[in-house]
Amino acid sequence: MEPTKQTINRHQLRTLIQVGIKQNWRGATNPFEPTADKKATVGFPGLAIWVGLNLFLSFALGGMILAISDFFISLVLSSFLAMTIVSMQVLMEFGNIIIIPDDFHIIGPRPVNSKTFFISKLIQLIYFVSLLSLAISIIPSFFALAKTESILSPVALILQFWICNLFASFLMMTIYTLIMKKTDRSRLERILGYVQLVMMILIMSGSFIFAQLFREYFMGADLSAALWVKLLPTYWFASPYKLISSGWDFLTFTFACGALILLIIISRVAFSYLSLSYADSLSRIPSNLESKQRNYLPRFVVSLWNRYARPEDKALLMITRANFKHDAKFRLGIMSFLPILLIYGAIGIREAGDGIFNPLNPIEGTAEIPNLLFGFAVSFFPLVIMSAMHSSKSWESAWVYFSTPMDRVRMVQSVGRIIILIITFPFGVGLFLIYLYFFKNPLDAFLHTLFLVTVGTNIITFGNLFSFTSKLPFSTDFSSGNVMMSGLGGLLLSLVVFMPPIIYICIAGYHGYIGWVVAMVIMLVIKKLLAIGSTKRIEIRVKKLEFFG
Amino acid sequence: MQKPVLFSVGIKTLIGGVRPLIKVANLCRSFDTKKAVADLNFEVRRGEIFALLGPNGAGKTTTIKMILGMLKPDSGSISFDGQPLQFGEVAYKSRIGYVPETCALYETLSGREYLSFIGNLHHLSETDVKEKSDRLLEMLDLGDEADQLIRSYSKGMKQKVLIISALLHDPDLIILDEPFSGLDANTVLIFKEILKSQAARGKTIIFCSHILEVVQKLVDRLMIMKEGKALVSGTPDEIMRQTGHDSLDLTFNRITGSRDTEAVAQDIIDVIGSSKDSDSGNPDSPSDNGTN
Repeated sequence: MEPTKQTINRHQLRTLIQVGIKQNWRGATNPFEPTADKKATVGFPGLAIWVGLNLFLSFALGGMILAISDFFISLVLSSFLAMTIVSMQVLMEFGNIIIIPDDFHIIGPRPVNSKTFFISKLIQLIYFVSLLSLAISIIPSFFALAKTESILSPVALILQFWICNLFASFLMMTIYTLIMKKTDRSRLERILGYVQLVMMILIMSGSFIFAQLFREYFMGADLSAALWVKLLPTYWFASPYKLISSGWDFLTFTFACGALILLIIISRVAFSYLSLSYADSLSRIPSNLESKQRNYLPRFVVSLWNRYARPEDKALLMITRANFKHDAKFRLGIMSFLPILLIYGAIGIREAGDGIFNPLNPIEGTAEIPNLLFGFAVSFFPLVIMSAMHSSKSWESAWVYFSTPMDRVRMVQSVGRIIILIITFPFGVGLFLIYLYFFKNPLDAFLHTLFLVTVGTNIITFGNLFSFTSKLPFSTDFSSGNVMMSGLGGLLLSLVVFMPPIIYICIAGYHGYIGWVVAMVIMLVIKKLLAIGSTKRIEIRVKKLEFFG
Repeated sequence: MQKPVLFSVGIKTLIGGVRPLIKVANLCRSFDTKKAVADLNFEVRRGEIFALLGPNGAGKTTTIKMILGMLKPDSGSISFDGQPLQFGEVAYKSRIGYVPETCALYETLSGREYLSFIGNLHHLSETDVKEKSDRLLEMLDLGDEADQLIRSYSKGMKQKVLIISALLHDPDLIILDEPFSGLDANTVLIFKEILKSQAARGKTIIFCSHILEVVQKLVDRLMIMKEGKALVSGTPDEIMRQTGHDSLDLTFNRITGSRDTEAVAQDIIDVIGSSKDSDSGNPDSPSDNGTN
């Protein structure tokens, strides 16, 4: 049979798009709830979480539109921030929205040509980005109208946000799939993890650049003349608005043309990568990996761990490692948050300049901001990362928790302990070294780090108490936004409770070593109370659990 | 019960003649350095039920995926109804129904929605899909669950949906990879009858299964593979005669050169019973439910 020329099959295209969008709006599997009355139309709206989050963030961007007097600059800066946010969301949902591994097995044997499949994926991506763009631009557009009293401004803002977000999504998709193309399958999985890490760092760095710009603006700098503002892609994309509102200008026209060319190039490259063969590549990753487990830790550490760790901790560490290695979605979920820790550390060091405020022995003129950043990173982000540990593509294996004589309460608690071991503790060691360098006092560095780490462990237990994280590990299916939902929920509540004492200590200090002892005693008492409360809470929850998966 | 071979062959010859629907010649496919399929040759005639057998990793699924156009052969050719298949060609896929080994389904759709989706990809009319899928779901006891999400289905229910979706468009070639996995005994009987009837209608069926008792009773011909190569092919009776066994299980074991199954089983039992000290198993041991 000669291959026929591929034409778009409209009937199939409509079906693929309808089903794709329907799936995006349905949520994760909860194997612990009976499903007998779950009608197809009552799925949990996974995509709604992202839309809701962007609506919330749009208030902040709206504030920016009002705060910056030059509307064009506010347009450039707010769309840059929106672009980083939406890029991050696209990256996190890559395997749910853009290239779904199951597609290959379901669509592959059907009479669907790759052109029809590609167009359906493209439309789904545009739909996803457009929805998020609309949500994040809605409040700023009202504010733009109120500020400029011109209908052109909100229209320009919505278009600017949309085009910039599409550009960023296509760019990310290009980088991501280009690497998938250039590497062999056996290395793909490993590389994808690093790619995710690098991309998240780039995105986070974007937010950092933005914060710098914003600060410069309020310090009186003329951002419209700054070179690096002009180098921002959002400046280029906003150039057509400037041409319309301020009149002809050759440089602005050049920027506008550059933006158009850039968009066309990126679109063409990105489009060539949306295919079933990439879904196939993703779906095959696990079967092509080396199965040999390597141990990078010294033998005595492994021996100590094997001797003294609880059986639940040992089991959980093992499955965490296996999931990290073999489950792309889990790894991408973790990798989405890890860069935040690194970025916060890097920004803290940069902000330190010549010195960091020592809360035990304060010195005049040292910076307080790094303490806040470090405190925030070590205390709150482990909780967010912890929320990624509840989902797995092997979630159906959760039956094992019910068929073995294991203590499920301890299993739930193990998640927190493993996070402390693999995230909080290494970050704490890094923090100790930073403080040691700046404080020039090992005792002060150790005591302050110990306090922050204790707050961090309390927050993890706090998450269990309020049920944000008290779930059995790797026991639920992935769906759009579910990691973000539980992570942010826990984060917001714990911020309200724990941020005030951290701010106080990091800015005002402990008022001497006695103050540190008092603060630590308070934290340890809270720790004990939280432990009692969360254990009771987990016991109640776990007793009710039945496995329906 | 022995199949009425002469009668069956006679009807099929009348319907489809002897021209093979599928012809595989010198087919090869490797993954990295591993040869999954090596120089494979076979053909399946119209109206025939043909089984691909082999131990795990024999290359059965890879062969099937190449026939389906999901994997590209490294070399060799596949012909469908006398026409050589080109990789990327999709028109012939509308004449194929496929039940994969894994339950590959969009689990956030309901059973009814999924069948409608598949029907639409095959260009069946909306009313045709609805009528057919409603009736089939009802007949296979899925009527009450038809609007529930597939993720809430048991393995057997998912398997039923997969089989219905493979048959919905009345394909000429039906390819089934472990089709009876998870199905209850009554449903297996129903599907066996369906496959026989489809074959009698001139439909060609290729299937992989490890349930050799079913294979022995159902298929016209079979091929046993190992390490990507065909070891033997023919009717079940011919193959059993070659080894002198009267069951396909023992024949399979002999041909694939597997170890003495009884001895292996005994070794396993010895290992299971040899635990010396174990602290893993006391469900009543108190937990300290300590802090984080």
